[in-house]
Amino acid sequence: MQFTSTSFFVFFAVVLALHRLPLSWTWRKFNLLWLSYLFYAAWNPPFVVLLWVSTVVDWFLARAIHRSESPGRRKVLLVASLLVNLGMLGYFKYAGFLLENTVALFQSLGIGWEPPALDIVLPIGISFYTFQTLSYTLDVYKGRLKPWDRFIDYALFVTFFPQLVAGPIVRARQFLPQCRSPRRVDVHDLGLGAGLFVAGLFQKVVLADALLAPSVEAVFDVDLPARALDAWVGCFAFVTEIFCDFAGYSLCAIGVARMLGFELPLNFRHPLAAIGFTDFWQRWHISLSTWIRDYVYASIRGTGKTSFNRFAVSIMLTWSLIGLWHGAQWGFVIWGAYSGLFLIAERVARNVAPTSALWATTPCQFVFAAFQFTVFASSGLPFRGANDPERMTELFWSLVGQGAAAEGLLNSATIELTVAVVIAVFLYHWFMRRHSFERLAISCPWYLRSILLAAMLVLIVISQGRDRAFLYFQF
Amino acid sequence: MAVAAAWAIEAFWRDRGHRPGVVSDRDLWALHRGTLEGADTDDIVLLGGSRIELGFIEAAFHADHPGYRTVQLAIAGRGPYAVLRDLAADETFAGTVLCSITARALQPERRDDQAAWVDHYHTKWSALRRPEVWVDAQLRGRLALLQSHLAIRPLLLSLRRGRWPGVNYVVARPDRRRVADFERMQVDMQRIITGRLAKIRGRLVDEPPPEPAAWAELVAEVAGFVDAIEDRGGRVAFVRFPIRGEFARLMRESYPRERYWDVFAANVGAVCLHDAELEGTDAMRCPDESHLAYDDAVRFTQLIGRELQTRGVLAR
Repeated sequence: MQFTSTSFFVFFAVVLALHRLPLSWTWRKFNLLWLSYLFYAAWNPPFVVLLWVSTVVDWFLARAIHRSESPGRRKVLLVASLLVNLGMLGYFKYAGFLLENTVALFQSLGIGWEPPALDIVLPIGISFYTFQTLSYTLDVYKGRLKPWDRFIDYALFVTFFPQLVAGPIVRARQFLPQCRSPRRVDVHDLGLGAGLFVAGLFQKVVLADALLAPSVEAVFDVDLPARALDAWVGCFAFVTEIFCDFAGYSLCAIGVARMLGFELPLNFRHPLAAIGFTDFWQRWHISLSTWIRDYVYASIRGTGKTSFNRFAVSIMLTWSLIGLWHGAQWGFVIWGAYSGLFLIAERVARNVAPTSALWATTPCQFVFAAFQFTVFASSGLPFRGANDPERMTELFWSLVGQGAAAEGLLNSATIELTVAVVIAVFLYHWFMRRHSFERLAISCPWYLRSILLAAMLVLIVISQGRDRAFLYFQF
Repeated sequence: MAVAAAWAIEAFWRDRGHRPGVVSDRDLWALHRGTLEGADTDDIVLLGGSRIELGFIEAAFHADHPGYRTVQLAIAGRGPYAVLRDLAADETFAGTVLCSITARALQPERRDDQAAWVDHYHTKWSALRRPEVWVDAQLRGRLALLQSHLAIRPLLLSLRRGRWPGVNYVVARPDRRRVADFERMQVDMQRIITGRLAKIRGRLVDEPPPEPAAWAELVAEVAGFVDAIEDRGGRVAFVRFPIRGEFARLMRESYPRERYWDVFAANVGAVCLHDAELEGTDAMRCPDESHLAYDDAVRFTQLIGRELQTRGVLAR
C-alpha cells in the first residue's frame, strides 16, 4: 500500500476516523498497532511474522540485558539480539548474494558447483525496522535507555505504519515518550500534516516520477551506447530523482504521523546543496547516517584521538557497509566506498588547504556546493547501475568521455527539461540550506500556503502516469 | 482552489478537442481478466489485437443480443495465442471466446506476444490492486486532464516544440473498449500506412510465414485449446477482420488463404468467420488499411453477431 495509492487514502481515512474516536489512549494506540500490521500485511501477509519476531525478541532481550548485572551475560544477550535481527536480515537480503559470490569464487578456483538458485522474496522495509529494533536493544545495553514498561508502546514503535517500510529510522527515545500521554491533534496539526503530505507527494509524483524518471530510464535501462552528455544528464537526473523520491516519502511519513499527533525526525535537510561531503551526510538520510555513526562508526573508530589511518579505515569500512545496507550488489558497495573516499579526501583537503576567508564567501560556497553535487551525481552511476554491471561499465566510459560513438539517447528538448528540473531543485536546496521546510511552511501566510498547496495538488493530479514504487522500498 | 484550477484545465483541454481516455495497461487487463473466473457462455471474451478492439462495437452487439456480457481482453499489436492458452488452462472458465485471428498473429515467433499480460495477472495482480485500478480507470474515463499524453512531462516537451499536444484519435474506455475517430486524426494517414508497411516487410524477413508442417502443428495446438474450453461447456469462434489496400495485398501474398486460413478453419474444430465470406463486407472501409471505420465496424459487428447466432455459438 503506497502513499500514492487510492487504497492508502481509504486506509488512512479509516485510521484517522478510528484515531479520533473518544476511546482511551491505550485503545487508540492498539488501533494504530493493528492497523499498522494491516498496512504491512497488504504487501505480503506472512512477513508480519518477521515483525512480531523482531518485536518480541528485542522486547524481552532488552529487559533481560537491563536486569542482568553480569557483563558477560549482558554481552551474550546482546549477541543473541544481533544474531536474530541480523540473521533475518542476512537471510532475506544477503543469502542469494553470498551464494552467488561463493559459486563465483569456487568457479575461479576451478571447482564446478551449481547449487539451486535461492528464490528469496525480500520482506519490504526489513532493513528499516531491523535497525530500529536493534537501536533499542543497543541503547539499553549501553545504558542510554531504560527498557520501556509498556509492550504496546514498544510494538507501536517498531510497527508505526508511516515510517515502517522506508523510514525515517526512528530511535526509541524519540518515539516512545510520545506514547506516554494522549497526543492532541488540532486543526493546525492536521493542516500542517496534510500540507507536508501533499509536498511529499509532489516531490514523488511530479518531480521524481513524472519529470525525472523517464530521462533516467532512457539512459540506464537501454542497451544503446550513450554520449558523455547523456550519461551526465542521466546521473544528475537520477540523484535528483532518488532525492525527490526518498525525501518525498519521508515527508509524507512525517505528515501522516503529524496528522495522528506524532512527530517523526527530519530525514533530509536540503542535501543537494551541501558544502562538502561531511555536510552532505549530515543532510542526507539523516536517520541512517546518525544510526551508522552512533552504532557502527563509533565502534570501529574507537574513542579519543585516532590516527589518520584508523580514521580512513573506519570510514571505508563504515561506508562500504552503508552501501551494502542499500542492497546485496557490488555496485552498492562500490557506491559506498566511493562516497567514503571523498570523505577521506575532504579531511585531507581541510588539513592541507590554507585557511582563508575566501572559502566562506558566497560564490566560493556555491562552487563547493556545485562540485559536491557533481561528485554525488557521479556516484549515482554505481548506485543506479548496481543491478546491471555491464551497463554501469558502459556508462562509466561514456561519463569520462571514452564511450563508444553514439547518437543521442536524449533529444535536446528532453535534456533541456531534465537539466531545468535538476537546476531548479539544486537552487531550491541552495536557498533553503539554512532553513527547515516545516518551519517555512508554518511561517508562510495561510493564503500563500493555500495557493502553493493547490498548485501542487493540481500538478500531482495531472502528472499521474506510470505507477512507480518508491525506490527505497527495495532496500 | 485546486478543484477550480482542475476544472479550468479540464475545460481547456475539452475545448481543444481532447476526450477522456484510460491507459490500457496490464493492470487494467488483469482487472477484466479477473472477472472471467467462473464465466459461462453468456460471458463473451474478445481476444486478438487492435482489429477486434476497434472493429467490434459492443453497443451494436448488445443492441442485437441483449443479456450477454462482453469482456474486452484484446491487446493491440499482439497475437492472442498466450491468452487463449491461459483461458484453456483455466478450469473455472466456460465462457464464449471470440478471437480475432490472422495467420501472422498465430505464427510461432508471436506465441508469447501476450504472455506478459497473462503472467502479470497470475503473479502480480492482487485483490488490493482491484479497487485501485478500477478507481483510476473510472477517473481517467471521465476526465480529459488525466490523459497520459497531457501529463506534465509530455505537455512541457510538446510546448517546448512550440505546439500543444495533439488530440488522440483512438481513445480507450474503462472497460478496455477502444474507439477510433479517424476524422479527428491530426497526423498524416499516408505516413502511418507507409510506416506500417515498411515495418511489416522488415518483420516478414525476420519472421517468415511458417512452413505447412509448422502451421499444421500450430493449428493442432490451438485445436487443443478449443477442445479444453468446449469440454467444460464453453464455446470458441474465430474471426478474421477486413483489411484493405496495399496492406491487404501484402498479407494475401505472404499468407495465401488456401495455405493458412483454410487449413486453420478446417482443422481447428471451431466456428471460423472470414470477412470475405460475410455478405456486404466488400464495401467496408479501413481508413488506415488495417482497422474498420466506426460505421463499418458497427455493421461488421452486427454481421458477425448474426452469424454466430446462426452457427450456434451464441447460446440464446
